[in-house]
Amino acid sequence: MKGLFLKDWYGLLGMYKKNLLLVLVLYAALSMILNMPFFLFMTPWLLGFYTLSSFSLDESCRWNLYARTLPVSSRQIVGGKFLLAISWILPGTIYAGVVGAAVCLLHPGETLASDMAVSSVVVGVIAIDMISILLAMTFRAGVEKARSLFFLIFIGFFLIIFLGGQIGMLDDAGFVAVLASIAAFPLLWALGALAVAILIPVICFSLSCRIYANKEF
Amino acid sequence: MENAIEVRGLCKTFAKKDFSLQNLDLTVPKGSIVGLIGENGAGKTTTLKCILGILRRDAGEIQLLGGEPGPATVSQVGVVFEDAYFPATLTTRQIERILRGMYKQDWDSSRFEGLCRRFQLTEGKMVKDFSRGMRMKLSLATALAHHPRLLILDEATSGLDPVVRGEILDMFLDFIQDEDHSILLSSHITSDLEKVADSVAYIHEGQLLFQKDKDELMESYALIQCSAQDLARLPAEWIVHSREHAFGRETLVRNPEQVRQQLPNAVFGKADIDTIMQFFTGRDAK
Repeated sequence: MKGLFLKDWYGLLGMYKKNLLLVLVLYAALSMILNMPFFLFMTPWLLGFYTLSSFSLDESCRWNLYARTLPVSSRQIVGGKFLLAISWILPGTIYAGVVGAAVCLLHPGETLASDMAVSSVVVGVIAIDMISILLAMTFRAGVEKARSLFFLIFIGFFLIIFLGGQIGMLDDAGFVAVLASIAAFPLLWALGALAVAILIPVICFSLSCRIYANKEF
Repeated sequence: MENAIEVRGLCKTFAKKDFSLQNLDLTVPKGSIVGLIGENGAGKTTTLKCILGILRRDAGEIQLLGGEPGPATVSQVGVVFEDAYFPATLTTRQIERILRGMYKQDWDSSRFEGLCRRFQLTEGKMVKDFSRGMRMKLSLATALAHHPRLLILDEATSGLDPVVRGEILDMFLDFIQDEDHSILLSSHITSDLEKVADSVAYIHEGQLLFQKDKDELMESYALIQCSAQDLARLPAEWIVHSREHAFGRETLVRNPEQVRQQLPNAVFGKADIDTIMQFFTGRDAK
């Protein structure tokens, strides 16, 4: 898997190195100048999306056909993509946490540096889960269709919340009940969230392996 | 293991493309070079992909180096397609590291570097900056660097200048010298096959028309020029195809010695692989 991992890293950096540096500097500058540390929460997501471009690179050079002649299994090829995503999201998470905490220290206000750091970790975990879902969709439908479908699902999700709020489905009583449950059973909720956070990439990996193993090039 | 590749009754259907391989048999004996010929869309690449396990066959059996096609057997095979399928921004140095990470102990870095020097492939140059010929040389270097027992090449010499092609053909002949290494070479450059192939397999519209020893193939056909009346005297099964053009009638015939006895006045010419292919294709285009 080392070779597969290197291939994607070299490919992505070769294409996007300057663009990536520019974006990271821009995000840091904007968050500092405008005192908007939460802006940095975009970083893990952005880096996760960059890794999806490795699929486009593979398609453009017909790498998948060639990879079938190499001593790597379908499982390793899929695993390489998931590891790639995690290896980009994690530095993005650390970047968001460190720079965000620095912004909070530079501009003392409502947000504590420690809160910023912890929130970055949560955002990073959510990014890993969402990108895992996107990876599975990409293996199934290709990069373009997967991205479009993912955004449609996202929009659909927020539309449901918005419309639900309009018709009173998401009333205060419901939210209060949830918050009360969390306060009453914090460990249970934390373990539950952790389990979901771990299960999502595992399920997506398993599905992706099955999808990829059945592909012909 | 007598044969590097054994294919028996291979069938593969593409319903959307209205194309299928039908009961294809093919053998690549150890220590030999088999040339695979056929017109565009005949099924050569499909056959190679089935042999490598890239495509799932609908029916038939394939033995690749004594085993089923899969990561374990494919690791002993060097494959070159019609282009270098590497991301455009990779350099040869990066490609070496990538493949070393995959082949592990089988990879020979010094051999790869030696081949790159021999092919004059600059280390820090990106794939996108290579010409087509240089990309083919890079593919060959990667295919040879892990000391494969079998080479499978799909149009590997296309885009190369005659000097380099000659050099690579010599490399192929060296490759099989120990009788343990083999090559399956699909190519439209039939003159290359005439130089190096031990046998030739012809795929036409998804079927194997023949696999014959190269010399025996070229001796078993002849191109004759004679009148239609003279041609009518020959048994139908001796005639592959006949065509008329501005300068007369040309016919590809089997059993040239017997034809010579029947038509002593006909003008006989050698039938090379190109000619044999053209006439077989012409026959079925009717």
